[in-house]
Amino acid sequence: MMSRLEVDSVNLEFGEKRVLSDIYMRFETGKVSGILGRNGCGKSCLLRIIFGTLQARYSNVRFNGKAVLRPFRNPKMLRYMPQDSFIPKYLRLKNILELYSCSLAELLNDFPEYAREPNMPFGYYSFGQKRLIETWIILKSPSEFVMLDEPFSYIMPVHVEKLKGVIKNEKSGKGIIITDHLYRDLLDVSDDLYLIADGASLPIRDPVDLKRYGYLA
Amino acid sequence: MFIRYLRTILIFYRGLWVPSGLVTLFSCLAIFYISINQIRDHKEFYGVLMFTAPFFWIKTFTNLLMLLYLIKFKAHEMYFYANLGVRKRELMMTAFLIDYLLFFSALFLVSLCLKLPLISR
Repeated sequence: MMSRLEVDSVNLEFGEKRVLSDIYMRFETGKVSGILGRNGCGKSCLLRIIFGTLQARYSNVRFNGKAVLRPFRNPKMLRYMPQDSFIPKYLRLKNILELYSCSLAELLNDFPEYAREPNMPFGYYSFGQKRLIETWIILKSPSEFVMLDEPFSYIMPVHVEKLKGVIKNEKSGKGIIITDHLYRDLLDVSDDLYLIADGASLPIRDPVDLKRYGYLA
Repeated sequence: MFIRYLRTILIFYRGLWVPSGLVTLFSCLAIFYISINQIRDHKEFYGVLMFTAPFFWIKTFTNLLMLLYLIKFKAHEMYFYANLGVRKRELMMTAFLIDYLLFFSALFLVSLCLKLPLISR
């Protein structure tokens, strides 16, 4: 059965500055939704508002039509990968995978280079490796929707291609929401696309629209 | 479900146990050093707990410092726990509750070992 996650009526201000004011987005399981926007336009804030860890002046997040106050309280419904590395350095990869109900065999199948080091503490890995593992774990964890904030940044091109393959496979069972500045990669995997400009969300039906709205030169 | 919740809290506490354990160890050693001196010098002694208050406040102060450190420098790690369904406030309150329990348990254990009463008349 298809599930849907909707967000609207978001009003986010920082002092005098109005960041988000006219937002409506609808996400569905079985689809990858991309969110584009200039630096500082409020993409990450919007993801945190949807997740429930950032309080906006007003916001309305609905799961299958029902309003939810703190979606993060239900990990089976929604999980979120923030921009910064979020896994404590002292935890071992095996334990992290277990906590997030992911399989080491599957990780090794997708990225065999981690076969030598499943018992290493997370701090042992480079920033790019950490980013890749974090993205993979959130993608693979059993949740109806996952939100990824800049998953392609800091990852080497070969791994970006593999990650796009994982995203395409995973979308059959969940809704995936991605924001990234690497718009070509995002366009590659996205079924729906939104642009945030001047605090409002604009549905993008054709990549030409990105030029029209001034996101691309 | 509850086991996973508890495990998440303990993982969070694991990141704090070295500094908070050192404060607990220092407090216990200081309290018993003072208690033993008090008995040796035949001064008034109403049990180990009579010297606990200043160390309890030291413990509270260092816990508040750790809280500020976590909020300022480890804010992004809170998403690890949020993704497991645990709120930041819940996480910190439970971890500090565990820390106080360990503090008083350590005090009780050392008083048992040294055969000093916790409270006496």
